[in-house]
Amino acid sequence: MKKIVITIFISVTLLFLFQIATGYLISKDTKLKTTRITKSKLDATVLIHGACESEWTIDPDYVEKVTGQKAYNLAEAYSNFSDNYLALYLYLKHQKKPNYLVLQVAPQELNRLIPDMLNSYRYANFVDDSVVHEILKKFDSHYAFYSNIPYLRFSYYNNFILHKNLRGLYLILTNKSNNILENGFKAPTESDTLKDFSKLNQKIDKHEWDFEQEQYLRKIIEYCKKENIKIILYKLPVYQKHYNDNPFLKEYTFKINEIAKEYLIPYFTFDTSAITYNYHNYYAVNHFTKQGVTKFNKMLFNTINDSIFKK
Amino acid sequence: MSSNENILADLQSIFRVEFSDQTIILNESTTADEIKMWDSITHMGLMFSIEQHYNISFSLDEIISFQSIGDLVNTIKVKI
Amino acid sequence: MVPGTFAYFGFLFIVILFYYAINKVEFKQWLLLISSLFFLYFFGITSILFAVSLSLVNFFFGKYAIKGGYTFRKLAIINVINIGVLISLRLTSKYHFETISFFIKDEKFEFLISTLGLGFYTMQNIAYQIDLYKKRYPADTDLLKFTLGNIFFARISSGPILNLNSFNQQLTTLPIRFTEENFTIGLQRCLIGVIKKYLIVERLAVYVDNCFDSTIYTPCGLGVVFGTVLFTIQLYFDFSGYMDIAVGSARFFGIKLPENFNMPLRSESIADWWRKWHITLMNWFTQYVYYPLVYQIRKYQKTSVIVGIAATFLISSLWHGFGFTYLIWGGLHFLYLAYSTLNKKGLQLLKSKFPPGLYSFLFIPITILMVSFANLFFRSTNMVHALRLLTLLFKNKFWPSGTLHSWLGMNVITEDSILFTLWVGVFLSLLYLIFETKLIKALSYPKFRIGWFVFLIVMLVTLGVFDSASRFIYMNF
Repeated sequence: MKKIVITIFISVTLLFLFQIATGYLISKDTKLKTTRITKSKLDATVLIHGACESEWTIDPDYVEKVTGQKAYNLAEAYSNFSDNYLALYLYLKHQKKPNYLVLQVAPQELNRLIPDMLNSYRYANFVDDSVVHEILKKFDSHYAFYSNIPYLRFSYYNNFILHKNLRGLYLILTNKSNNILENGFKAPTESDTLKDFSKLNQKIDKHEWDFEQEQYLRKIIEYCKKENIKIILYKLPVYQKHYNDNPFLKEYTFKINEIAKEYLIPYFTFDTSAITYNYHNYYAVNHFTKQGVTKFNKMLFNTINDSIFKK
Repeated sequence: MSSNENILADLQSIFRVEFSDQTIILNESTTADEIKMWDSITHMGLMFSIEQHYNISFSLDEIISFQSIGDLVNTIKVKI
Repeated sequence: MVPGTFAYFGFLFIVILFYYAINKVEFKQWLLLISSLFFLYFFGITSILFAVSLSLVNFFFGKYAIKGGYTFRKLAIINVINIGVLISLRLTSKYHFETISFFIKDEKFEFLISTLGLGFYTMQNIAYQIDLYKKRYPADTDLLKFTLGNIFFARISSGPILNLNSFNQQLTTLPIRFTEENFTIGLQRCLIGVIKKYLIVERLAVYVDNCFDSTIYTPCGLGVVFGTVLFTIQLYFDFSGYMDIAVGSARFFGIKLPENFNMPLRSESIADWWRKWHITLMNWFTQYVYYPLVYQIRKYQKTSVIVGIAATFLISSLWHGFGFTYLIWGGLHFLYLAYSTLNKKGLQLLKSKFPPGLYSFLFIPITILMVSFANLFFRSTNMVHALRLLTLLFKNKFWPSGTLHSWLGMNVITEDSILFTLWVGVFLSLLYLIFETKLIKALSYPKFRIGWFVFLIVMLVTLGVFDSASRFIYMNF
């Protein structure tokens, strides 16, 4: 019996030490945006937010060039609105308040059957924060439960965390920590091109409006209103044929527009713009190639600049 | 009536032919684990050769239950 | 409440507490029975229904049949019932229901009616009846112990397949006190089981699932070879990890379950493989299918052996499921074994020409490749998927080019960390396999060593991947 107690005691102590060490290492991995926004001063007046489409499309440098406003791209891959909400919450907690939030709201994000999610592992270092914990409990109750056990807050999502952990170590050792993803934009590479264009005409069989995510979209909007941040919604237009083949996209866009109207905020869509007819602009249904990205940034921010910033 | 030694010697030569391995040396405590080639695939052929040699017949349960050469020798002794 | 999960160990812990609070062996048996029923309840009330009623039927049939002499007719009747239930439930499983064609089944065995462990205890019951018929043992007189042999929660999900008679003997001599040996061995076996599951199986799944289940990703030929070999390794860690938990859990109660694996990934031939892989199943087939059949026709020498092997693997593949994929899997193993039986002398000669170390060095990988090729069919959800992999393997470019992402056929947007996790999994599995002999020895050490347990616990918690605790692969059968 004594031996068992000693074993448990040593194990728990070790795990706590590891927990502190890992927390430190991850807080050095500035490739992870939740780390970046809490560790460095970003000073943005325009905050870009949304899922992977935003992260890989909107170039803050371009925004600055056109509008003169300093921007930061907070969007992250596979995230839904509850994830966006948490990231925004952490951002506002640690950074200077921006004047504008440019949020991507795409119809497919409100389809419950397409798996974008709350990526809990990004918040592993913040589970003690009551707001974070509450949302994690709601969307990922298993994780919220396991995160009470020493070290499991990190290792539960080891598929992601172990890598970030070691990358943090690498960044410390090589002292590279300050110049990765400085503005949060992850540009498509030259090799992100499409060879099989039939993939652009994907038919999405199932769709179901996601009321829970709608709630979190509303929460983000209300949060911004409360904090006095002007919120601008936009959508990255998909390839025209895909848009026409999946009527629910139009239907959902309409619904989102209704929500925007309700709060008296703008929603930019570009559904019929020239960019959507040329398949060379896309390498996946809703991802632009390098040339598509350039065109779209120009289109979006000229519009925003003219109709909002300049007023 | 043969002695155990005689049966053992007979078995040894049968084993050597059956497994084409001249280095096999049997004693009563030898088990199937010690002879690499001796498994369920080769077992029945081996038993059939032994049956032929002594002109006896084993029952299925006897064939399954042989654990060591000693078991085999004792069973053969009763049958011949 | 799948073995290996938090809930399972919580349940196990409570049962152990009660178990050692009780002093009478008979009450201990009752406790195990009740907790097994409780365990089964989590897999649906039908699981209880089938497990219990089939135990009752077999117990009473055996008891009364033996009175008027156990005739072959009686044996036939009871086994028609046993096999009939198994077949009819397998036939109503979801995939078969949806498509009779064998070609499209969404997931392997989504049973319409939940019957955990049916395949495994049916084997035990059939063996019990045959043993009675052959007068190997007297009929069981204790219904409680008989039922417990079938539904004991530590082993019902995926075996090991027990000999009910020798298991019952263990039940009569259950230990009164908790010994250090039982505790130590039980705990370290459970720990290594979950370590295998969470450190290795979950990580390898990253690529194995992509390779087999996706129709979008197109790995090159070498990528397919890599995926199938990885699946063989994954299945070993999954199944033997489950076995570790089963053996470990039973050991807490002082019960020793038979082992199912003996380092199969070190086999030098397919025959060797089947002596080391899923041992209790193979023993069952050897004893109740192969030997009786070959015995009858043994005068045909080699032919009889070939027929025996064919029958064994035909039944084995049907037992795993009704599908072309399993038939091809069984067929391939039949071909491997038939070839080695017919060319025994040639192979022996070949072996004698190599120095022993070099022979192992060459033939262990060859054996793994042969097993993996058969597993390509075993794992494929259906023939469409299997044919797709074969096309990728033989018709496409075999050698890789481009980035790692592209030759593994993974999506360009796959995060770096996912690929990293795969390599960690490969590394950990190789590490385990290299030190396997030493580890297995350490796992049977009966004294509680603090450092060793701290090591196991810290390894598990820091390196495990816990977000996708899925079922054990073999729980489907």
